Amino acid sequence: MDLELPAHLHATRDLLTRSLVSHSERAPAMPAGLAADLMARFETRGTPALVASTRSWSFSLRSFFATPAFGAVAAAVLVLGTAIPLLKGPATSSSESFRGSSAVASESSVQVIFIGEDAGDRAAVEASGNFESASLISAESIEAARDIAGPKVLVDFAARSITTFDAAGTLVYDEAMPASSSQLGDAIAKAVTRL
Amino acid sequence: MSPDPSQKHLEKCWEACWHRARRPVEGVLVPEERAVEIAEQVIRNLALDFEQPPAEAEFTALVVQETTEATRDLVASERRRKADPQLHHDPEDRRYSANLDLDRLQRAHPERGFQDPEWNRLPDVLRPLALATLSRKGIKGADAEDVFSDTLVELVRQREESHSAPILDPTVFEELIPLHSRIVQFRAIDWFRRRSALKNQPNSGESFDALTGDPERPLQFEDAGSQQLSFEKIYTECREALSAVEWQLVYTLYVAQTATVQDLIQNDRFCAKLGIKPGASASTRRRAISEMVEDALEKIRENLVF
Repeated sequence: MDLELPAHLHATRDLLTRSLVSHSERAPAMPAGLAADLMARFETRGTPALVASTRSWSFSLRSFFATPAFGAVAAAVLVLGTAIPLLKGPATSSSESFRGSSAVASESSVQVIFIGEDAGDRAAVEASGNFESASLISAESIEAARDIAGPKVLVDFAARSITTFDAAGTLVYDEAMPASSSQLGDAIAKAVTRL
Repeated sequence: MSPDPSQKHLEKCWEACWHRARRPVEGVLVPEERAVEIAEQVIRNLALDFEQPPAEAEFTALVVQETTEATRDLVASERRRKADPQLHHDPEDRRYSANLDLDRLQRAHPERGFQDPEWNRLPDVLRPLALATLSRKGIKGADAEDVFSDTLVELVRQREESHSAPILDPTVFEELIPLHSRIVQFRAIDWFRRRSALKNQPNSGESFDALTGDPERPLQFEDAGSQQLSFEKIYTECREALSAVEWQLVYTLYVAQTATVQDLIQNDRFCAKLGIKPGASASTRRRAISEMVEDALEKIRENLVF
């Protein structure tokens, strides 16, 4: 028994009904191995067959770039990225995020933690212009620094080392501190990029 | 025992895919065995793009679309390699005598444009079809010849948005026929507009409204092709408008026709996807399915211009 659809939807229903196969010729049987291979491929992933698809990320990315939505999103990002700084007014020197020649953008969620701080070195880092001042903090010990949640870069002046930990606390980068204070900003920036 | 739903879906998908490999474009006919090879290859390749079982509607739309493109490209390359424009042309296609060499038609001189001698043969192919269409719309004689000439000019005129001439669109010659047919339709409308502008002047005859609004001839401007939309085109046009469950519903019921409403009512897992509480009566399930189908069809109707 079919559904009793409103009359104005009959044409749409009929359109769908005729849309898949438009010729009366009988198709040959599906190759023997094809159905089995497809079923096996998806069954091994343990998900029922009748669900919304999950495409590979690369396929989804390609599809997204090919859709009008990509243009709309790109335009929205462009507008917001331009309008918000304008609405906020001219940036003061303390709020500027991007300065200097380094291409590294500051990441607000990443903390740069100085341990056994050297005033001169810290000043050099601040002067590099690669980091927001709010992301530069100090800790009394390596343990205290490790206890700070989130991704972080530890600048240990006592051990002369720069280490990077991801959000899970896993060490992802370890490098000796450069001898020159003027290179410290770039070295920390390099450590941030490993996250 | 009835086949597993996934198996039924795959069979339906295979059938659609094979048909499209056999006839990727009206007028092209690929040998059966070759169509089998193409269809199988496309399905296997496309399955690799998915890490999870794909939604039936989406997978079928993608498979059929990719099969069409792959087969069309294959036919074009074989024709090119063998220098035989008639290769894989459907012998039952009697719309015109023989294919022309599309590569030559598409060859443009940097300064002189589309000047290949193959163009001298094109009017003989397109004129009978165009004049028949125009005649059905009431445009005949010298007027029809004028409109037809305009359509040939339009084939090589660069479009503003794409900076490409329509003649460059087809991959195989057979695609030129529906392309030209659409151009004829639009030029016919232009002709009526121009004519009505004259007729609407004082002491003139019938108006454009009278010509187009005649209840005795309601389909005067209807493009028959719009009533034969393929599923992949419908899916592409409406993909964003429907949810995954809505697509599955209309695909299962109307496109693949792999289940009836009664089957779905009795399918607890499917009803759960629709948000129907376990233990709901059959009438409740039927009402929920009916509402969702109506919503889905309404969305498709609104997104398709026909």
